[in-house]
Order: sequence, then C-alpha cells, then structure tokens
Amino acid sequence: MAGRIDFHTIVRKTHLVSSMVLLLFLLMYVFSGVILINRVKFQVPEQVVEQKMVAITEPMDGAPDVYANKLARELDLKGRTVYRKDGDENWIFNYNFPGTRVTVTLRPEQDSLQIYTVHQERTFFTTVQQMHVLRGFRGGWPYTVWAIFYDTSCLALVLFAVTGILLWFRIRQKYPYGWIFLMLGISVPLLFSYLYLLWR
Amino acid sequence: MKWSRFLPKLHVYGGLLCTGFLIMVGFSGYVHQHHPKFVQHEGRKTSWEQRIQTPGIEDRLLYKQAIRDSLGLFGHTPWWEDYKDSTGVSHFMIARPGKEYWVTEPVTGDLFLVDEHRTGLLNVLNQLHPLGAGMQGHGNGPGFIALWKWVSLALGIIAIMVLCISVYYWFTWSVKKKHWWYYIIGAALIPVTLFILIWLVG
Repeated sequence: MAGRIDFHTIVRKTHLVSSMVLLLFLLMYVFSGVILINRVKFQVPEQVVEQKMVAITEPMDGAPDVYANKLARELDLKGRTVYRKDGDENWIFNYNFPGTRVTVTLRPEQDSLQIYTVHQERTFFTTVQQMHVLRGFRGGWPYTVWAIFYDTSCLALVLFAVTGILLWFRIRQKYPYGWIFLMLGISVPLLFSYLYLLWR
Repeated sequence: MKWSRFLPKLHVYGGLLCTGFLIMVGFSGYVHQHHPKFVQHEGRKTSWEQRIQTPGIEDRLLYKQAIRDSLGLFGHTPWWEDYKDSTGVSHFMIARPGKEYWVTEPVTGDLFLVDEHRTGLLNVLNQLHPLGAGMQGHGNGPGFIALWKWVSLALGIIAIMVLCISVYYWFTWSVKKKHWWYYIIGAALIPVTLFILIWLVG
C-alpha cells in the first residue's frame, strides 16, 4: 500500500514540477511561434542576402577553432560559431547570431574568403523569431544552457501529459467522461498524420 | 456552474484532450534539436518523368517553387537539400509530411525526373508541429492542412489554460513556504535572462 502512495506522490510531484518548467518556456515559445507565423503582421524585416569575396590576410595554419576566432575578430563577427570541412576540402565557418547568419568559406587554395551573409534587421521580433528555431548545443555556454532548457521542456511536455493521464486514472470515477477526451486527444494528431500518409 | 467546479473540470478534461498534442510537440522539439535517424526513415520509392516548361526565374527559391507548382506537388524546398552532382546536373528536394521528392533538373530540354520517397508515421507526427502555421507559401494542399492549423491553435490555447490552472493549483495548495517562491522566481528568470543575453550579446 505504501508503495502505491509513494508512486502517486512521485507522479503528482512530477506533474507539478513539469507544469512549472513548461509554463514560462512554453509561453515564450508560443509567443515566438505566433510571431513566426504572423511575420507580416508583426513587420518582421525580410532577410537580405549579401555575398562578397575578400582577400585573405593570413592562411589557416593550425586548429580551425583558433582560425574561427581570428576571423571573428577580423571580420567583426559574433554569435554561435560552428565550423566543418566539406567534401571539396573547403573550410566552412558559420557564425549565427539571432538575425544574422554569416558563412565564411575558405577554399583549399587559401587565396580568398567567400563571405555569405543572410541578414535581418535586428529587432526584438527578429530575435524572438530566430530563437524559436534555434537548435543544437554548440556555440558557447548561453546556447548550451538554452539547449538544455529546451530539452528539459520537451521532456516536461511528455511527462506532464503522461502523469496527467495517471492522475486522472486514479480519480476516473469523478471524471467519467475522461475516456472520451483522452481518446479524442490521442486520436486527433494520429488522424491528421494518417491523412498525410493517405494523401497522394 | 460555479468557478470552483468548472476549473477542475477544465483542467482534467482539457488536459486529457491535449495529451496527444503535448506529446507530439515534445517529440518534434526533441527531433528538431537532435535530428535522430529513426525519423528520417525512407519508405517505398517511386520515380517518374514529367515534361514541364522550365521557368525563366533567376532567384533559386522562386525557381524551385515554380517547378514544384508546375509538377503539381506540395511542400517546402529546403535550401540545404540542393546540389549539383559531379556531372553538373542539379538536384533539389521538395519535402512535405509523408513524402520527400528529389527533383533532377534536365541539362537541356524540359523533362524533369522526380524520385518520390514515402516517409513513415513518426516523420509525419514530427512535422505536424510546424504545420500548425499552415505551411504558408508551400503550394496548394488539401483542406485538412487548414483544418489542422485551427485544431492545433485550439489545442495550444487549451494546453496553456491547463498549464496555468496547474500552476495556480500548485501555488494555492503546494507552495507553503516562502523560500519556495524565491526558487521559483529564480528558475523562471533563467530562460528570460538567457534570452536577453543572446539577444543583446550574441
């Protein structure tokens, strides 16, 4: 009996904590989602693309992270920095800052840098919109912490739903129509998914 | 009905109604962050050739959208799924829940090759989240796309109400000690502080 009580307490506390985790983070995402969907209404500036070539001052001679920092200083870039080497031996350095995405390509010849900038005028709404689609752990500690919060919220969404069902099940006689709402709640997303699968 | 009787009913029934929606959003959030391979499952493949007029548009995105519309397809054209192979032939993807199309452009002429890959249920479930926006500018789809937009909006509003009630219950029933308030306010300030930090500093 005591085991059952303990389980219920855990479920209840999990439900409460997950709701708290979710509330603020989810509200932020709902707010940013509304802005993302209604970009025109909120006058979110359109993206402007610029492309230019600049002469190289110093070839890459060492670790890519050191070179990425050097480029950031020289070209006045900031934000999440990610780099990789593509199949053509080009080094690609990405600098993502809410509202601005800069891709610097260093060719194997190391003669010049190709700079591709996608820029949105940085307003509060631009930042909010970009934050909605922000993903990944790399790019410095604020992004890593944000990503951990993001993952925690995803887990909290599932936990909130599952513990909610368990809590209702315990008092299902008090809420007899719960089965109908539960079945509807589960079947609606599945029904729409199935419609997409059927759609030729 | 009294407020004190209505609130628990809204909390329980509304919460149960949102169960699938919340799990779906949590799942798609996880997929967005981690890109797990099991969601990218490729199903049956079919191919066909279709003769359409090559649009005379310079902008690559508009060009691909014009081809998509001429092919009678629906979906978005991700910029990262667009390349030229070693023979100089261009390929790009059109993606929509349930299907992905790889379009091979002709070097000369107007005969386009389309490879259609079916994706599984998990892939579609994952994409229901962004479809809450109605897939603006992704072509003319069937009516259930618009319907899902309104259904997901309603479920989202109910979910927020349920969450607010949940937190209200927590405050009225469970948070008895004053120091708990400091913990809660502190925890709530972390994401807001992070947002401001990323917004202003980068």
